[in-house]
Amino acid sequence: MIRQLRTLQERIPLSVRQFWHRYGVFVILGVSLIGYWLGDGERYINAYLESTPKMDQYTQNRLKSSGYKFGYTLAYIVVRFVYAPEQAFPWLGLAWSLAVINYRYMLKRFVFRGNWLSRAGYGLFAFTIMAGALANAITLTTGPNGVNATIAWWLLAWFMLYGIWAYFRDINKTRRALTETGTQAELTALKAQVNPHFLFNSLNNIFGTALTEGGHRTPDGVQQLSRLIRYQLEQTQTQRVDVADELRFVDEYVQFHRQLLAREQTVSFSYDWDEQPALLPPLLLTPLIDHALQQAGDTTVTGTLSVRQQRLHLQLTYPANSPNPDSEAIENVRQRLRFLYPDQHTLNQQVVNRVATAELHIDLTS
Amino acid sequence: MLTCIAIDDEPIALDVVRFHANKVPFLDLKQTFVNAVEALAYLRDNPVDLVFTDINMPDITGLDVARLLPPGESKRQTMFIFTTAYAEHAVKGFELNAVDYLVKPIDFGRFLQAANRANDRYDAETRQAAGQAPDTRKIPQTTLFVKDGYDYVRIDLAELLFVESEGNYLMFYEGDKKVVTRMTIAEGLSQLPASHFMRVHKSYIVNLKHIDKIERHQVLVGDKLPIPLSPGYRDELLARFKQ
Repeated sequence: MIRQLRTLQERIPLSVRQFWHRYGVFVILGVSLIGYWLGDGERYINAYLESTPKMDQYTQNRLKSSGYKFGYTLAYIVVRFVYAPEQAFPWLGLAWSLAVINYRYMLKRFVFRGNWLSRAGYGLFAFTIMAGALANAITLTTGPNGVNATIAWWLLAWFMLYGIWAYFRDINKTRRALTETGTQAELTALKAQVNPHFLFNSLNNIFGTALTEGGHRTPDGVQQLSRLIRYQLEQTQTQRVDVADELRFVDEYVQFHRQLLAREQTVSFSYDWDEQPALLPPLLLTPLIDHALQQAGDTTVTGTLSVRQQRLHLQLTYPANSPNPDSEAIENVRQRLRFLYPDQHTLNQQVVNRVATAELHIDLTS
Repeated sequence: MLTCIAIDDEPIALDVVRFHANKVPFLDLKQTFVNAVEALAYLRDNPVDLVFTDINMPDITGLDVARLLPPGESKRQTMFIFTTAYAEHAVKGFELNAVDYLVKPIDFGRFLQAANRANDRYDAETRQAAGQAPDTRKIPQTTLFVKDGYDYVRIDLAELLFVESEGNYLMFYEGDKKVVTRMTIAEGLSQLPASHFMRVHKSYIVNLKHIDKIERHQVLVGDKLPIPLSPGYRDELLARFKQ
């Protein structure tokens, strides 16, 4: 279910998702404020409060104790929602967007990543606001104003809760990043086991034997294979590679497969690069291309790969021979993309009339 | 003519070097060695111009060979082309008197490029020894071998008029001959001497010696069709001729 939702989410155009990621919280804030001022909720609530019997001194004193006040305010918020449901969105929206803004632009910047001075500054700022709210709460204990003041305390509690939650969410993200590097470490260990000297010396021996025997295709094939393996061994040690290197690799990879399949006519691939420097994570595209090539029976696989103005676009069209076109390898690509370009990519796969298309867009700026 | 030897602990790797060297007219491969110590002893008595050596060998490494080689009677230093299975030693190799650095399996195109480089350096040093100024007018590299299918085709750079790119292929127009190879235009440009070749358009490189006329939006090369000239390259092209 979540997977389907995510796939659905990845279909929304990149620009829209990026905009929402950055400015969505301000949109919610704005709409909430407008809703709050336009809404006529106060009228209902004032009417309700006036309809309730006046409090005696005892109740008023009880109301001054903070524990009681918290409970009273909570009840008040619930009542507000019941009596003025049209105010629910502005309230929730305000609470959420203010918490996000507080976390994203203040807590994170001044407390988690700041120095002691900035932390003290934030503390002073928070204290001033809360002290103001507190003073308000003491002088106006009863009636809607007093209650509104107490709501500030509820907001504080909510901001803190949200801050703690967001903090752990971010830590989790970092941990996932570490897992990714962990996988990288495993890969490195695996590479160390396949001693590259042994591997390439062996390949060179096969190459030499084939060469002296007078063949054409074998030395050529060994040469190509060596280049492919070498690239995979060397480039995966870095996080990002030059787009020119990756394009050459993809081209050679497709060439090699084409020869392997011995169906020269069935694979057609074209490239387009504006020759502006750009960086890519290595070997990100090959699982997708590999998958397309594997599906190729006697029908054509076409692919276009373009990198223009820091935007990568890969389109693959291939026969959908297996009932489920989503393989484990592609799921891995999805996960890698989610991790590397969280809100900067779209990957769509569709099957229409037994023809599968995969389309990947990545915004490479970062 | 460059005299050379090859050192590698794997006999078949030596076969590869011998196979390639036999195809290069200016290389004279004297002998090959499986044992680097024997090779050092040989070099003491028979100095050569160029040594192909593997880096990773059991007793002493190829880098040691370069280091241990005593300076010969002649003032000329022996040039080295290092070969290796895996590229960890690249940086170290270039610190020494290395002309080039080849990874195995060595394909002929790359081998030839390295050999040409050694030949150029040899020529430059000969000129310097004779007290002559380096010749800038001459095309330093006279031929280029490009891969056409499984074969390498020789292209005479003096005769090469222009290069056109289409998709993943490059077309070399040499006189009436046309050679098609799988290469990007950036790769093609890097293999041509910058002193005589210049890019004038997204998909064209021309030989400056063969330009007959520069018009506003095109250049005329030989008696072929006019070649489009991008505004971005126009100023640079004109500047090249003003020098």
